[in-house]
Amino acid sequence: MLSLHHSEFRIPNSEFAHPKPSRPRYSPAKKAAVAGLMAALTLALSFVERMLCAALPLPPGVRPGLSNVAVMFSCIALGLPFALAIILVKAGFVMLVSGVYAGIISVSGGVLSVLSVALLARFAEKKLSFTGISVVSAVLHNFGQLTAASLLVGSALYLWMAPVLLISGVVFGAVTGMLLNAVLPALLKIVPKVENFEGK
Amino acid sequence: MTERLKLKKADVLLICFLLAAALALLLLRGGGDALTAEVTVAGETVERIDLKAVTSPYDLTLENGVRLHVEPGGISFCYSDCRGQDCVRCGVLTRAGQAAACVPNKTLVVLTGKPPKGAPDAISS
Repeated sequence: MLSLHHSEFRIPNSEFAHPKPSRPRYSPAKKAAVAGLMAALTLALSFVERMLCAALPLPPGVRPGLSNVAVMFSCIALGLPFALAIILVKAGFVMLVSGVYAGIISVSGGVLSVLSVALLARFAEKKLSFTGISVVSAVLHNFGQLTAASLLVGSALYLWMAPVLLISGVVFGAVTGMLLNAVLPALLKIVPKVENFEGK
Repeated sequence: MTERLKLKKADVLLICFLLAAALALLLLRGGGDALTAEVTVAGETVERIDLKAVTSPYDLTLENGVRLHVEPGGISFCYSDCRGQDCVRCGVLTRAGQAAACVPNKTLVVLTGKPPKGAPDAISS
């Protein structure tokens, strides 16, 4: 069914403010398809990142978190359940490649990170830009991973790892947030729920 | 969408706060002239090695099968039976404050600036 829902497309000062009237309203099936696409993108980015990390002189344990671009976008555009599903798919991939422990660490970081994105996008959206939301999400992702690793290793790693992971979270969180800003126009062409990208 | 690209005041404040917290943690951790590797397995310290006193490199095999490579001023994981091998990829730790962990084997290596237990903190004359 093609119907017009102009209220969905009210994004001030943007090229998306006046969409073509023929733009269809998306079905849950399309949403699921986009979620699948984003899950694939997440896995691909996570794989590329692994290769990048081998080449870049980064401190131990530090990763840019490129796949967070796709996860964050999914969380805002598709909603928390889809984002959590993507996190589980990614953790499954990590589990296959690096083992169960790495999978547990991945899922704990991922869940904390998407929860923060969902909360901030809902309640602090007018105050924070994507960059700010992404920074918080990256820092919490690191702390989720650190907590899981601390529990698994049996000793608190916070004092040792926290400064490095805080700084890397801020730096790479800002980078991924800006990256999301840069690719957003392209992603918005395939996303079903545009209204999540306007200030509520 | 254009206003989204700009950093807002709250973003800048947030980033400053987080960086300040990192700095505070770094200061809290403190430094020191010594370089001691603390090896813990499942929360218990099994080895304390004064890396500045090491003159020739050697390998140290822990009870859980993890092998560490100790060299003058540095320590690294050189063998672990874990699948991820992230611990081995961490490379050589050479500065106080650095740490590497092998989660599946519950092994943690931390470098501190404090001298090993038993050694004097300072010698005054």
